[in-house]
Amino acid sequence: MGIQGADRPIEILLVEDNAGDARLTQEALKEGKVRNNLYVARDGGEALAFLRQRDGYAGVPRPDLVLLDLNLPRKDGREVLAEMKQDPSLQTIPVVVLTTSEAEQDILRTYQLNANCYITKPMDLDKFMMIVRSIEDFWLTIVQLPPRMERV
Amino acid sequence: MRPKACTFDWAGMETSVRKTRRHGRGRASAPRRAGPARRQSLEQRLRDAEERLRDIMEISSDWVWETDADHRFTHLSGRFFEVTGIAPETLIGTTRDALIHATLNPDDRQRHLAEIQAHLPFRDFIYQVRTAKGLRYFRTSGKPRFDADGRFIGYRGIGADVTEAIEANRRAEAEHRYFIEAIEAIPASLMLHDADDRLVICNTITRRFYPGLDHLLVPGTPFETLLRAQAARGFIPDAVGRLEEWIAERMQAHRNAQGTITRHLADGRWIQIIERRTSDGGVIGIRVDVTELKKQEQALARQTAFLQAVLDNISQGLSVVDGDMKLAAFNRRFLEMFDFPESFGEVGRPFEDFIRCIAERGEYGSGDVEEQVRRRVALARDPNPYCVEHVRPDGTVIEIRGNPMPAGGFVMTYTDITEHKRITRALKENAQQLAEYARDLQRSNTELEQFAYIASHDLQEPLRMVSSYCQLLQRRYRGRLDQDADEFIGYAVEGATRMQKMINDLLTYSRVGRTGGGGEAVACDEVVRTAVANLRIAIEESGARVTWRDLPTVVGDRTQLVQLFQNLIGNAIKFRSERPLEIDIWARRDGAFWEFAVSDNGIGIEPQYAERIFLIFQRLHDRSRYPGTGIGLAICRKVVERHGGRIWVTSEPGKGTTFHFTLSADAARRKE
Repeated sequence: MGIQGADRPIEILLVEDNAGDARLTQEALKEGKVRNNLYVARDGGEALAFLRQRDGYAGVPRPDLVLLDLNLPRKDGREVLAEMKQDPSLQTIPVVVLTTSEAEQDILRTYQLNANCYITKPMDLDKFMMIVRSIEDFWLTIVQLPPRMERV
Repeated sequence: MRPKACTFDWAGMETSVRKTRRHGRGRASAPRRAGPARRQSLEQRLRDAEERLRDIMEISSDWVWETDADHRFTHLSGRFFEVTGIAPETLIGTTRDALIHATLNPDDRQRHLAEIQAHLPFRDFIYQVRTAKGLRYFRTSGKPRFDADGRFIGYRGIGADVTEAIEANRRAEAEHRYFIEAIEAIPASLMLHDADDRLVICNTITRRFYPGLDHLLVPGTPFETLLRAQAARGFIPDAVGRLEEWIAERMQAHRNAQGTITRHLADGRWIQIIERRTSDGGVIGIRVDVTELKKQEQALARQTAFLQAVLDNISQGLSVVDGDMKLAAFNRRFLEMFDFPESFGEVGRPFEDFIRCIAERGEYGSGDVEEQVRRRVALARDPNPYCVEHVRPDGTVIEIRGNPMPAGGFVMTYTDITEHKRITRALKENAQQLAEYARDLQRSNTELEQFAYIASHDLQEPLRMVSSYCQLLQRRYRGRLDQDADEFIGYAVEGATRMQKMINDLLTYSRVGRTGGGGEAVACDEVVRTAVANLRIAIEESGARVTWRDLPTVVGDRTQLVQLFQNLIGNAIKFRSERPLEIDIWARRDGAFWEFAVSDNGIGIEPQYAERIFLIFQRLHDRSRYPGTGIGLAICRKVVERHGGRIWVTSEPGKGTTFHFTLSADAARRKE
């Protein structure tokens, strides 16, 4: 189904400190049609460790998509985004910023840091479900992503 | 002028002279009609007479002359040459008339010529002659001579140079004339009395001082006579009823002849009399009419009294010090303000006394009194205006202002500014307190806004959890639990949803405070168009007709202004009545502001709620009929106030509502 290969599940890294939120996303993805593996990082440091397969994350898959919350403990989402987009080995991974903030400043800053898109988490569950499905649809079925590069 | 010694026996002299001349020195020729004895005695007498005559002629300054029948000189004695320097020979044969250069009076010459033509004797004819010593005056007397037959044979006479006497006389006359002219020229009466108090002379102006007494203003009139005549005419108020006393006093003063007498006459005039002794025991009196001076003096005194009265009645203290640092003028208030002793209130008192008085009381603080006095006097002398404040021991504050006077010295004013100071201080304290309040308020507002933002933002996360999981429950378990569970979950979802809306509104509300209020030129016309566009669906559904006209351009935050109009129009739509809804928006200039109005024909608002509707989360209606959190008008008020205006409502329940608000027009003009 996905352009990356029909037989392989899509690897998604969700960077989210709120377990409730993480679960909601998981539930939403569960209702979706794309087979996926969802990994959750609780803060920015963990997210970067996962992406770089360090500190106990050796052997984890390279995500196809990162869902990133901005407000995280310790290293926040903006820093994660900045480091990813400066890292040649990570910069091609699409990053969808999924946050509660509606602040124009956050939106602008995020795009300046080369986020691939910015989505405000809706309050309404139905809308949230729909959004997660849209992300799934758009990024995992419609969009042509760069070829998967195996890590050096 | 003519020496008395000149009277002598002209007959004898004449005879002997003629005989002598006619016979030359021929003493040898004896007289014809004399015998030897008589001759002896006659000759002796003749010699004697001749000798006498010679002596006399030598002593006399006069000369002797003789003329013939044609008035030509036949003889001039040697004295003539000595006196005039003219050699007699040059005149022998010329007429006497030719000698006359001029006479004292022009017609004297003709009269004299007529006289001698008539062969009359003449005496003391004076005429001017041109001589080697210049023009000289000669005085001459002559007697005609006749021969035995009575025929006129000429004149014989004597002459003398009287130039000095004539000139001395002329000088004396001129001096007298000058004296008269001088005393006539002075604008005062001048009277000269001799040692017996009799009037010697007075000038014409004197008559003004003795009106009607011209007949007494003649030499010889005793001074007392004048006084009595004057008193008798009632001119001397002093003398009325006490004539003798006054005469005695006046005569006494006259004899003392010292000082000045100032007299007020019955006719209102003021006379000043100055009398002084002359070297010969007389008295010289000078009288001046000082009426004008006196009037000016009185006017000045009146004016001074008037000014003093004014000065004494002003609330400021005042002192004027002259160039010698002496008090020249002051008012009562000046003395009172500093509690100066009554005796200080005198013109001429050194200014230093006042300063020393204050210094000695310790009002300039502790320290050397003399040093303080020196410093203050120096300050007062400063040619520049100055202003100092003096605090009295009782707390009174006196502002002292000094200004130099054009003619030297300075004027100082003293103002009690105690109350002024107190009020100023109080005002300053109030202002400080107000500023503090304003700062506190500002801080508290900022904190509140910050709090509202953070609270609402941070509240969203957990609420979203509540809301989302309630919805997830609803989604997955509806109809799978019992009916109660479905209902409970329904209320939980609804409550969470409403809370979400409120938090959203609160966020919006707090954002108005945190952002915007900025300064771009915003055309309200466009703003309303945007607001109407945003509300398109609601407007279409309600069938509202929104009209607006002549909206100005103002300076402000476009987004907030859109929200303002949008909320007001939305409010009108929400609270519409059964009637077709009409919303009209207009603006009019009101001084420095634009007043806007958004009016509708909706259900209206009870007047008692006119204030409450602008408070956050205040609702007047049942939520089921009119949904909403009650934030809209609170946001409107916040936007308007952030733009420096105010908002209010006028309404007639059942007929409609008009929301009014103002926006500053000045900023608008500045931007346009």
